[in-house]
Amino acid sequence: VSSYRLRLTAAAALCVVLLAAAPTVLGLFPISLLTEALIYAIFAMSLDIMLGYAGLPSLGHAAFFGAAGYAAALLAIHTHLPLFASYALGALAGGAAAAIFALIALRTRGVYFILISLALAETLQGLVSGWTPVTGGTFGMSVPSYTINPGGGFYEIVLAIAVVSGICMAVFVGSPLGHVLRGIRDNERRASSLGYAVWLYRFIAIVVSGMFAGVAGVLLVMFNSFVSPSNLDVTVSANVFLMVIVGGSGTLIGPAFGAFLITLLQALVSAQTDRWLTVMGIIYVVLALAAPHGLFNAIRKVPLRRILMPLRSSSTTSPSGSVR
Amino acid sequence: VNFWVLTLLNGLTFSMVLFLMAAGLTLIFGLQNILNLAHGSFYILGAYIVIEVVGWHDSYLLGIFAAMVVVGVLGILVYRLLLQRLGQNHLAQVLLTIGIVFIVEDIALAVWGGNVEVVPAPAPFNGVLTVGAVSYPSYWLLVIVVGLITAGCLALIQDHTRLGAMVRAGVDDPEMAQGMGIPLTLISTAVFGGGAALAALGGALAVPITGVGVGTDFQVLLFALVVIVIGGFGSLRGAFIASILIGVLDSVGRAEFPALDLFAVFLPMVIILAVRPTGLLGRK
Repeated sequence: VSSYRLRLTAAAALCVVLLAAAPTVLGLFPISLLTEALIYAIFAMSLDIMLGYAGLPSLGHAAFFGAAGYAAALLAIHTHLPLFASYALGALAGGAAAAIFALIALRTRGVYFILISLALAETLQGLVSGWTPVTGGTFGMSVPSYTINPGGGFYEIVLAIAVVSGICMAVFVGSPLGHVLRGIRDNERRASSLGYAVWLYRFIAIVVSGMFAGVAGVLLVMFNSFVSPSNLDVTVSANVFLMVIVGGSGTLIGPAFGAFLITLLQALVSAQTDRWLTVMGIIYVVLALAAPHGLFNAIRKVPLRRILMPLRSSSTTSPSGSVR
Repeated sequence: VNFWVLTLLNGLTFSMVLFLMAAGLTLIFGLQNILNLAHGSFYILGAYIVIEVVGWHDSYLLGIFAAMVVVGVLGILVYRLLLQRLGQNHLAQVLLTIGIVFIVEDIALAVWGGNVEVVPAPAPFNGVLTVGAVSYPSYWLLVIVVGLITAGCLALIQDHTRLGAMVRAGVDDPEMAQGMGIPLTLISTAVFGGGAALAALGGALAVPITGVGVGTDFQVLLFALVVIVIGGFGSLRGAFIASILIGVLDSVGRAEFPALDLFAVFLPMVIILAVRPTGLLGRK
């Protein structure tokens, strides 16, 4: 297992190096696409903490994403804090929103949790789009951009934040706390009879997840210099949910991979055909049937070593002397 | 008083459409533990088929019939060919049914365009009914009547037929029901097809009132999900009560605070779930 983890880490590091080198070869548009993919990768990994590790499927994850975005925007517009501080506080607001969300949603499980998370996100979106004097209503708000020359700089910042966030989340799910979360996911009753405070562990998972969703939400607001109720839309929640499922829940790397795959695929297919939604729909249906536990888990199960083993080596393992 | 009567009637009309959507959704969840997010697609397909048939043949009744048959068959195919293969994997179900939502939405966009499509109410019901000081479009009343009749029929089937007893047994304890020799797969197929047909009926009935356009599918689905959560999964009665509650609340919300109209619907759900996590009449 440890050699597996080592190879996984090496592969992830290789990807990061490639991404870091990308601006030297790619133009402005591909880089802005990669920026978006990185932001969604953080977002998808944050959802995976809840969905994959804590067994809390949230179809309202856009609530934290959007709440953080709005908090950052409001702080940046109305206070004299340095811009950086507004954005950092905005990300924390994602965690705060998650704490409130958890107080209500943790009364439910399973499909009920899916639905109440959806409802909570809708409620928040309703509030935000209705409260026009503060939030700008359905038209949203323009946000002062974090002054970097366009094209250069922002991508590197996002990449750095994504790497740091990814490492933090990996440490979180690998910690004893993360192990307890998985124990609770697999058998709640056993975990609670062993004396673990199930509710508290879940609460922590949701708050941590909400905070990283907030980081992604703030980055998206910075990226667009704009925030609107569409940041809180169910389609955002559904999209990130799909990224996690497509990539493979409970793996962190899978969802990041899923985020890249779906973001790039969407851009690619929609550039080719007007009927890109049909193509995406067909891809989802096929994936659900072919890889119901996500691509990463499907690929992991492929016995690579057996397939790639040279033929001759298998003959040497046959008992010697039998040919003679 | 006048205002409140109208608001109440508006709400009841919407309630009936909601109930038609929610009935199939809640039963199939109770029976097979399947979360079908494509139920809203059945609804808009029903609506679009009525528009087509009325365009060709000018017969509203034929349109409703065609919508129910076509969408019912489609529902059976989706269940038998796709959803059944996934077992109890909720995440894969979400992935698959959202895929279907995308496909249907895009086909609708390609065939019928992005505008909201409406058909006029059919001939004898396109007027206004006046009782005392209150005037009300008679078609809306017709929808309420049809909804109540359907709900009554479903309650009769559920309570007084062999099929209903088997469905109830399946919702209560699927494994035990199967062990007793109840052909659960067959029944689930029938319920899925019937549920899809009812959703199509809902869409077909609603199209002269609300029209149908891009995003209608997700909108009705959200409301139907709220209804089955409040009513309790697998409970037809719960779905009926919740439909009326949500329909009326939504209507009042729209009339009183139009900006916060979604809020008026989702807040009660949050409160009810927080107090009673299994819904009003749910047991699981």
